[in-house]
Amino acid sequence: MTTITLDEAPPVQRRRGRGLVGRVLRMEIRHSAFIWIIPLLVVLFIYDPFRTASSYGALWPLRATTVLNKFLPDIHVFAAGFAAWAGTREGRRNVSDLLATTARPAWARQLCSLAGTAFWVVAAFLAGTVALYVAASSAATWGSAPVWPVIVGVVSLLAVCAVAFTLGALFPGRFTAPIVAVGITIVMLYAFRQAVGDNGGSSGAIGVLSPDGVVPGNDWGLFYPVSVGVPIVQAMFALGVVAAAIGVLGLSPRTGGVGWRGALSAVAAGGARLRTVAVSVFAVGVALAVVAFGLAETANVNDPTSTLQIPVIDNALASSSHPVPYTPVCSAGSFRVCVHPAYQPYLSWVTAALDPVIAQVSGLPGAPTSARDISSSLLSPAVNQGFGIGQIAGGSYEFSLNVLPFSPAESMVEVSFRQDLVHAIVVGTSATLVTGSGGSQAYQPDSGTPAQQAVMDGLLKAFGVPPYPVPQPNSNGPAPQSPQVEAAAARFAALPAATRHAWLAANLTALKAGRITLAQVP
Amino acid sequence: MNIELTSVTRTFGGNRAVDGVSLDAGPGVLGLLGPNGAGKTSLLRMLATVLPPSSGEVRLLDRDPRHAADRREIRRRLGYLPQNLGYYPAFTVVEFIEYFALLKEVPPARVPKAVATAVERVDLGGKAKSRLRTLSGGMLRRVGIAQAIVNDPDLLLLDEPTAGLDPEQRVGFRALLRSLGEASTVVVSTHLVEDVGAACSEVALMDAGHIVFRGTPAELIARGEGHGVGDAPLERGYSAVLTAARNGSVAA
Repeated sequence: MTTITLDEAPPVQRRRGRGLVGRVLRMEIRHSAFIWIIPLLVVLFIYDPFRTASSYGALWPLRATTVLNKFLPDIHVFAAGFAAWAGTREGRRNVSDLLATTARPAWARQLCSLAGTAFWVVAAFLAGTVALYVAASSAATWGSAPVWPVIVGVVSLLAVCAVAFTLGALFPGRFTAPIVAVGITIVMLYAFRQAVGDNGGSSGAIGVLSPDGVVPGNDWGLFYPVSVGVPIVQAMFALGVVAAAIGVLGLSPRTGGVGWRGALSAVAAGGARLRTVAVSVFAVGVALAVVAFGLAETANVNDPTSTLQIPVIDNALASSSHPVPYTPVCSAGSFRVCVHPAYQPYLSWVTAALDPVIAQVSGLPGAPTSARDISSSLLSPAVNQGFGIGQIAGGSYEFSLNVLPFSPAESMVEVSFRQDLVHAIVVGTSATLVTGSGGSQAYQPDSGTPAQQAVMDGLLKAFGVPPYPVPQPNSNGPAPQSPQVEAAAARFAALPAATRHAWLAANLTALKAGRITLAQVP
Repeated sequence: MNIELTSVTRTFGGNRAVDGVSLDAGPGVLGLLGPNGAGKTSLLRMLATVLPPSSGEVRLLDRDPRHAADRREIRRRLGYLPQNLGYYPAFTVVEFIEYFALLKEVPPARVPKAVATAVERVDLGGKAKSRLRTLSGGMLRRVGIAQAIVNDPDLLLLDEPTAGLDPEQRVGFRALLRSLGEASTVVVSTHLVEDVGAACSEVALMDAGHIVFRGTPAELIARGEGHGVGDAPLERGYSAVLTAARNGSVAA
């Protein structure tokens, strides 16, 4: 026999919101205020990251740094401001009561609102990144578009949006958005960016977690892969911040949640499932951020890659310690100049810079018979720390294009390579290790004896290149040459090329050994 | 019964806005009258599940709003128009109503028709695609009513719904109230006694957090015969009941 209780409440209908979230989300996307700022962002993008990236050498890893170093900070302030503005909407527009009577949980509604702003922020970021990458792909001769800057950038922007939106929802007011935008910008600029050291190595965890870092050298990512540990930790931290902010949004009674006491109380009324989810999301977020911070604390600069690594991750992936295989591109002709394929656009510049010097010194004792580009980390410390470009080893002039400025010019390549090669041939070592009064050791540039300087400058003058810059202590500029050296250099430059070559063939060994005096220079 | 209140009290600090109110209501239009500060809006907000009571028991649509699942189901079947309607100025009329239809979990397939019906019922068909920022106060009030009825609610709570409506719109709105009251429980909080006379099947009069009168409009008019002040019979009944309540007489 079946007993029917007539006054029992009918069962709760379970209507799944299939399509519902999508439609609310579409509405939020259509009405996001961020759309209005996109024209300004386009102008800013062209002026700052695009212009900067275009001026950089045609190297994928280098150009990709503008995604996080230039573009991301430009968007941050707007993302924070508009996300906070969206967060304050319900309070500003006095619709809290009305919305409180709707069936959909406040958390779901607010996440749709947050997603509406985040959609445009991320879309703007991705569009700009695509433009940067398209420009890079048309210039670069080796490599491919790095993915990690995009991932880190997207997750960082989501973190900024989530934090700003939550602050806006918790403290709705007319001035919340500008205050949050300025606050987050200050945090990004003066907490994270300032914490980034010269090479990121001594910057501490906050510096490692900063997506906006220093611009690396040209070799970064060419000879050794870029560490994936650092971007993984950065993305993990930002994801943790996203989750924690979303959890707070779901828990706060001011945004429709049940509050901390309610969340932690087993007997608290209402929304047990939602409460559990919010607490879990918050806890996972905090855990992710803490783990990421801990991993960032372990970061160190690992040779030979010379980039920051997270040992636990990078060692596990064995990603950064093995050289990247590549086939060098070489010039035609009797004196072969080979460079990394990424530097192919500069091969003709280097060849044109070296050829006249090689023509003058060819056949001399110690003169190189070829030249090749190597990783700057493989150059001797004397070269690396003595302001040199290369070294002669095994009959080959080994140089690094890591020294190229971010906006390289052919004239600069011509001058610096001729100066360096002539110095390497005439003087040899580019720096000597000097022990200071306190016992500390440091490399000091070696500009050679007065006779070596005169021959060097004479040769350079004959090639139409300024004298070798002799660094002077405690000064940024080169020291002026003595009148005697200048006079000898002028004399040597005025000699016919064949005479110079004959004199060098007879005296180069003695000159390098320091046995030739200034008066003996013809 | 769609509304069952038992000794419901709501305090704000030391102020007892609603004081031990018990009230039952089934289908029909219940007018909630009372002077400023009587507790009408607080009572309505408790019925709207916005405010929990400080004490007492509330059951709405045979469910207990203290339980999350029940509260969600109540809200699916609830329509609410607050006294001060907030809105998103950039939304169009249709978008605003659709937004609330979706948040009230009207099945998505039924939303377009529900929105169109609600827009027509408040006579805003000609302004359906206008942005809310361009509408007059009376039109915004009608948008508010439309969002309240878009889910075809079993319990409709309206706080000063006719404020800002012109006389013609008010007449039309009273007819709408009567038709809604045939199947649903409609609670209308208002200062305008003519609305009560024209549209309500029952009246509850509140003063100082208490319900001091409960009956039909005719019974309220009868209370005013030979007593009170006012230009209309309902106004005289209203003032007579309030005077009696304040002098300590027993309410109905």
